[in-house]
Amino acid sequence: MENQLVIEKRPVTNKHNKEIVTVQNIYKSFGDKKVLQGVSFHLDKGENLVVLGKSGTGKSVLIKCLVGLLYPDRGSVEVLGENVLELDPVGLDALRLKIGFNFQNSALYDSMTVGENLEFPLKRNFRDMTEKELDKAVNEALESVGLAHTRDLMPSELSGGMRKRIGIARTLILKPEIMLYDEPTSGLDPVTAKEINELIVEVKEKYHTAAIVITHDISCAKTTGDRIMALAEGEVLKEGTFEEVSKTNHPALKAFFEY
Amino acid sequence: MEKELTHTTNTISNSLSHQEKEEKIMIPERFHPFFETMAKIASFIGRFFKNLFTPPFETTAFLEQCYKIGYQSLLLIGITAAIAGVVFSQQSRPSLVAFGAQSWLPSFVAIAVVRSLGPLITALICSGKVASNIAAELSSMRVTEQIDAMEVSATKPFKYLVVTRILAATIMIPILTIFADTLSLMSSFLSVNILDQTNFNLFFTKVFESISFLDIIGSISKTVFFGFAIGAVACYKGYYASKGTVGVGKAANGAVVTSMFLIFIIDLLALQVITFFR
Repeated sequence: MENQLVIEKRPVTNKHNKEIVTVQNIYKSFGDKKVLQGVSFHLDKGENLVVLGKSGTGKSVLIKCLVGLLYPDRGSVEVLGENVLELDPVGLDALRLKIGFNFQNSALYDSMTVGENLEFPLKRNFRDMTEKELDKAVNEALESVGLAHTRDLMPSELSGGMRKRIGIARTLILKPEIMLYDEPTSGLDPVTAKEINELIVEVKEKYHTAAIVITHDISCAKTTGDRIMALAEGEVLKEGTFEEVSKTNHPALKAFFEY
Repeated sequence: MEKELTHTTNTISNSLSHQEKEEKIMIPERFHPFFETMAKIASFIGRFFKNLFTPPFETTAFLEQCYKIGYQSLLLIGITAAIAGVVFSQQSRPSLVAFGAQSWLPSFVAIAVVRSLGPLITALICSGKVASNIAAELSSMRVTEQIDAMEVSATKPFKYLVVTRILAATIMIPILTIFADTLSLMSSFLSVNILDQTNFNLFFTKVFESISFLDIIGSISKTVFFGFAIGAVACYKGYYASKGTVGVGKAANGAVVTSMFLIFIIDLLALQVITFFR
């Protein structure tokens, strides 16, 4: 009943053209563990939305639901005008090409060189591309993250920050409309984390992408987010600008900002 | 269909809602994991065959796997098969000599090698070498989210990683078995020749006289199933490995144990079928 009320309040059909992601009232459990409990949010075109919260609050699960890596038990997920839950495999793949998903540990293919990592999605999605075109696209993507010299290196030869950058380059090579960053600064020193934050902002400006940044890093949220959505225990606690969210009196969130 | 399968695999642990558990499922709860696993295996195999016949075909990745599974196993299979041939002929010889049936040795060895020894040695070695390798590789990729990364970039990892490996194992293991049989018989001849001064032509004439067309076809046919079982079990265990480094170890171990067990089951079933046609 409660779910129906929420759905009535926010219709599935995208009323605003600028809304490119609309998530309504999604629930997700793993066994008895309730991870998401009625989360609703939207992402506007050209906007960077930061999903802020402690580890284990369902942030990563949330963005995995956007690309069909996980499916919610209930609720609706609309991305770029497509209902993700109703897409067939062909439709889902077509949608995925418009979304760049950056994993927490970068998820580089460790049996391939950096160049091959970048070529891989291109070769397999655009089989008629020539070697010259592939070469050009790889070089451009590597230059956009400032790592053109790493093309022949193996992922194991890269530092944590470099791996994050290569991960971003691998998603940028497909020219996505939406970027999803899962903990982009985790495991990085403050200087490298700052560089990654700046890169996220740079990507938004240069490629005109919208992004959802999952993080528990306050400086990352402050630098990269146009809007912050605080998540705790699988529910949205507060939504607004960084300043608005930071003034909250909610104990779980307040402790977060005071730390 | 693929979305449904992905959905099934992703939510397999929580696919039964509380309501369903209370109202619809009459099977005792302790059997749920078994049936869930069975459903998952069935969907995995169904997905393999669906992807196998759907273009585009992963020719380069398939050939690469043939090289890894086939060519890179040649030395190990060759040495093991040669040793097995020598050991079997030397251990059989005294019994045959005692009955004055020394001249039956080539036939005896040939039947044993072609019908059972060669296929079993090859399949069991491949269980240890190939299945553990595939399961460890895929489970590492699963644990480090490399498979998820392929999935979200629409690169169809199932086809690229799983279909190529299962197909390569299914094709290469029969070829490795033929190689193993040949080396076993050759080593057996050398072993017999040292003790009895047997003629090469005589030995192999006896060998080919004793084995029938059904022996060869039956032997190769069952190795196709051995190969499929090894590839499918290894890919299944690796592709659906649980998170963490423990998951990698469990996947590799599970792949070896399960594929070895399946090899003996298939061998037993194949024997019944071949006996029926004999």
